[in-house]
Amino acid sequence: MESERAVIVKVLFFAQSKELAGTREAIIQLPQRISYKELLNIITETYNLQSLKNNILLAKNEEVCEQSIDLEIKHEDIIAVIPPLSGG
Amino acid sequence: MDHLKLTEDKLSVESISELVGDSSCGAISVFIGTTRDNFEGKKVVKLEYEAYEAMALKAFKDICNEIRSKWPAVHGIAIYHRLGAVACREASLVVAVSSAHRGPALAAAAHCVDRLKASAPVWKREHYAGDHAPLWKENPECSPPPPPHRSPCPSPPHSPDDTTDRNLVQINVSNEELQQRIQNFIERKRAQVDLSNIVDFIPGHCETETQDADTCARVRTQFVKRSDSKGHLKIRKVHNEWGPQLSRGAGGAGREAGGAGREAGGAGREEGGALPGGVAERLRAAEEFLSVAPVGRDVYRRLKQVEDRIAELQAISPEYAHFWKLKSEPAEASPEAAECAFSADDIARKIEQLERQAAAASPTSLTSLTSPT
Repeated sequence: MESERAVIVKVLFFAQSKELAGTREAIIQLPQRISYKELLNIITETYNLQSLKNNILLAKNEEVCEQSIDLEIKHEDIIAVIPPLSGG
Repeated sequence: MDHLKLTEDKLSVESISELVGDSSCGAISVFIGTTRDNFEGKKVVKLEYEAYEAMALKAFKDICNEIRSKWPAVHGIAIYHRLGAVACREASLVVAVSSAHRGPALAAAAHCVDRLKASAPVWKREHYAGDHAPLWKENPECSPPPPPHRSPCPSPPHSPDDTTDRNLVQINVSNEELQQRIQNFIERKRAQVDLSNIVDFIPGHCETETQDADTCARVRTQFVKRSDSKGHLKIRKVHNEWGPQLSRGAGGAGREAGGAGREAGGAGREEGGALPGGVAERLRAAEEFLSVAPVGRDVYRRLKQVEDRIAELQAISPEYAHFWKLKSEPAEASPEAAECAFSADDIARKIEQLERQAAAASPTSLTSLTSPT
């Protein structure tokens, strides 16, 4: 809001988050620099994921995001919403 | 050598263990994860796996690297994971690790499975017999970000149906539908308020004059095109046919008659206490309004003229009343009065002036700015 939303990225949803969001993937506009918390807020609010907010991780380009530092977002980055894992 | 794969095909334990086998290895440790047919008393009919494939393969690779740095003796590692629908009792995961001796192979295989459950972005959903909803599972190993109220394994916190009495639920629709209904309600209410505002402030729009008393508006507007004016507001005038200002008149008749009588009679009378109360009040109000000096004789004619003039000005352009009022009393305009009667031009000029001052970076006192035209 205060910073301009400059880059366009793809967001991927899996498992529970995919069902709540109602889609496998979406396109969203984000500022180039954003804190993990802001990004989490934007994504959970935009895609109906409030109920999972405390349980999901966000990954950028297949790497789980560091939560303590600001994220640099580039054009065509891929953000993934990772709900609690249950592989194996 | 690392063999990593996510596949929809059935897993063959034998061919996978073959991948890691080597003539130099005396041990192949194989872990087979299979699917259970029950969960909390519910019968599981089918499981479904889903993965963020690119990231999962990366995670597998990271695990392999970790194993190799921890147990350099490990020779081959294979991690095969099923995707899509998997029937009960089938293998969903096969991990095979080979090494020269059994120790590293056994330890590495166990470690591999533990790490995989905690870090690989793969999800499992169980479908149950009967009408139990399918459930996304959660590995206890996986560590989410600081969980304030994390429910243990399976219970998604977003299904109020379990706790709410069905009899208390009046509306049973999807979230989207519910939002839409709320939005529609808000829009309809807004339209109602808008309509009643219009009715209140523009009488005659859709009601008759007899209903005027029903509205709460203090101000009424009506747009009436006039040929001799740019202002289109309609003025309502009040005609008092009976009132205190008429009751003490000479003849007790009309205003003109009363005025004439008084003119003829009291030549030397000033307006002081001699005038009837209502007349004195009207005159004072009118003189104040036009800022003319108190008058003596001839009061009634002049009063009539003054009132006619006010009525005319108001009728021609009522919306500019405060401007011609100001012009008529420039001499005695107090600073406060001037301040609250700036025209748009004055303000524009003032802003410009302030901007120029700011540009020159020389702050000036505000008193120089409060000069009316």
